[in-house]
Amino acid sequence: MIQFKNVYKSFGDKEVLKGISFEVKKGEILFILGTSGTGKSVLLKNIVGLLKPSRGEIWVDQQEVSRLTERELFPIRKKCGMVFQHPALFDSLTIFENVAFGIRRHFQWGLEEIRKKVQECLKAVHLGEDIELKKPAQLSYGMQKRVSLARTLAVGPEVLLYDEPTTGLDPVTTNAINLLIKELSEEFHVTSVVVSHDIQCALDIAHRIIFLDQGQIIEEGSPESIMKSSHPLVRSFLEEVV
Amino acid sequence: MVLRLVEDIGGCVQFVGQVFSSVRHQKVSLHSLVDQIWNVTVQSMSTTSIAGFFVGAIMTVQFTMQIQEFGALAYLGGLATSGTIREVGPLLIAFMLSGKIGAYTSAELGTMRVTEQIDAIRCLGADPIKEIIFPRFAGIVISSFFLLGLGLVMSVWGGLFMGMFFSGINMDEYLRYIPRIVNWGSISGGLFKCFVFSVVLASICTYKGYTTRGGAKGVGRSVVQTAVASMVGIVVADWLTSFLMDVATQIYLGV
Amino acid sequence: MHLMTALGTQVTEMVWAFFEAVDLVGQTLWQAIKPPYRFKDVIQQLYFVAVGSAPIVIFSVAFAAIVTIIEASFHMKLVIKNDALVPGFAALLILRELGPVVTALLLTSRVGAGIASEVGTMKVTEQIDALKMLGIHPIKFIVVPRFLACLIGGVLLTSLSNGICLFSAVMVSKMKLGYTTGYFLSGMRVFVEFQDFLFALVKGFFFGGIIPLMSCFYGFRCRSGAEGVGRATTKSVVSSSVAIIIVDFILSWVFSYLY
Repeated sequence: MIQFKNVYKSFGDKEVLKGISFEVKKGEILFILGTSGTGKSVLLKNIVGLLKPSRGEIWVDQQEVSRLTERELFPIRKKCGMVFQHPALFDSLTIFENVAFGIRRHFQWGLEEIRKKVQECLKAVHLGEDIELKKPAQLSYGMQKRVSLARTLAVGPEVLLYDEPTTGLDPVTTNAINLLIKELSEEFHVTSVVVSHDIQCALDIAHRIIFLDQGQIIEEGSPESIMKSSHPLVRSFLEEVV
Repeated sequence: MVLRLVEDIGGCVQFVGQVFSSVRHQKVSLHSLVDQIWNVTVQSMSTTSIAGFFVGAIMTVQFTMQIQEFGALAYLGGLATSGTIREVGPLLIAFMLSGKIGAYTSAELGTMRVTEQIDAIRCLGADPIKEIIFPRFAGIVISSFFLLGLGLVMSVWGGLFMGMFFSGINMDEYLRYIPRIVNWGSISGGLFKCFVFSVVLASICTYKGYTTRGGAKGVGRSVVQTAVASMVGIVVADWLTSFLMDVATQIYLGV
Repeated sequence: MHLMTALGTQVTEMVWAFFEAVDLVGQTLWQAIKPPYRFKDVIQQLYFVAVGSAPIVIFSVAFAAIVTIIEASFHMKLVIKNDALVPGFAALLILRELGPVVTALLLTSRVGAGIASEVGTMKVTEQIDALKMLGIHPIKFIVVPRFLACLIGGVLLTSLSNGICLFSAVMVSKMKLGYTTGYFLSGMRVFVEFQDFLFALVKGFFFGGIIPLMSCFYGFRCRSGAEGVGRATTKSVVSSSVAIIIVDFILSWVFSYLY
């Protein structure tokens, strides 16, 4: 589904990604773990062309995306929905308009159809219709994250890219969001790539885990094999999990 | 520092070019444009009016002191109004707007940038320049043009007010010489200035806001840069337009 | 009823803001005269205020002065058919209004907005609370050095900009209107009095005081996040500029009785 081939990315003279190669298979939940500032989010943004790699190739479904123009990226971005670290909701629009934003750009639908889709998406993230007319600032942070997820879902993506979905959330909400990731993956048969540093949840729901350190992949495998890893960084991550 | 300045100016010009090319082939939503114009105008109306009123008042006080010695107070209304409309008024009111509109817009866009809202727009398949920047750019140009005009009208009132209370001449006397000294050339010159200032203001604040990076601190930084850059830009534009107006007047008189 | 409650909240809030502002001004003045003095901080801030802003101020007022001469000559020709009095009139306008006000407005955007965003960032990243926990008075530590530096910087920059303004006015009237430097200066002497120089500095002093107080006031009230910092900075620029225009008007009025 998604393939990284020897990808390098540098900002100025600072090299963030140093030769990353891996593959994401259709329908799986892949977690990318690592300490802060190792280029996890950068990696994610390269897939949808928000950032361009300095060298290397990124393939999404038989298409090389790293050299595409903004216009050519349009179908790629429909296929790969991105869930941002901050909710990134448009503060001037209501929740309904936020969720409908992508639908209006991708489909020529009537208002009734849009309304149905918005309700469906809000329901999928366990939110009621009553919030549709509120503004983002009136919702709690956890709810904003859900709306953000619903907004991404509304376009009907085949891949969901999560950029640290649980950073800055309390344990209860974190748990709920993680369950949601799993649920959506099963219910809509989407492929999920999650960037995170929450090892517990990765072990719980991931099919495969990749460890990133200093811009390089240091460990890769199923949760079971990660548990047995001898790499010092992976071990210190695992110490968190009792 | 000079290099950075050139880079900034080049970036800004390129950005404005991008804004215009983004709307050339696509339909612009009239709704969001009207929305922007309305928002900007309503928000800044009171500030502009107050500033305009006091600028007019200050100019009258100063002109009174200068003219009194010649016993030419009759000319006060005309001179103060003309001086305000042609030069000081647009300049100071535009300074005010660069704080009110320029800083506000760049703060808004900067916030959208650092909270990834602009990336989100791109991911949802929309062009942020078309959807977000163009309505603001056009909205600011149109509404600050109106606001500057409003400020100038208020400055006439401010001047009249002080003319009556400070200089002790009555309304008829104050108004009598205005049509004599303030001709259509001056008014259109003043409006031309306002238009140029609006474009300078809109370009700088959308560019600076859109290129913000680095969290809350970054937003603060780009607001400061916007305020400084637009004031300097306005002063330079002021000189340029006055120069052009002068040339135009000479050609007109020469012919 | 709903409207009344909303209005009531608004009014209460405004009254509170007013008291907060008075409190800030009072505390700043008190902390400024109370030892220990932090000369090093003041010097550091003064460097930022005066030296840092000097290029922009010089650049902008030079252009503004050129425009003033061009416009003054336009008006003179219109009313009395010659522009022999331009040097005197323009010099007066420059010293009394243009120099101090344009300088102050430039300072508002560079220094004022800078202070507001700096203090706002300190507030949202809880640095101000950290200062309090360390037993350091935030007003003494943050506001007072900036306040004193802006007072001094306001006066210095106003005199600098008046000098630059007059210089570029002399240059442009020489090149464009054909008046020699000597003619300009003697024309200026007829109109300009010693008070004009003094009053310009007084204006610079007052404007210099307004800017840091306004900016710190909004910086301290800054609400969390990037949005809050942006908003605080914007508000401080707008309020200081309006305040400067109004104070300028009042000062001009008062000074007009002192000639």
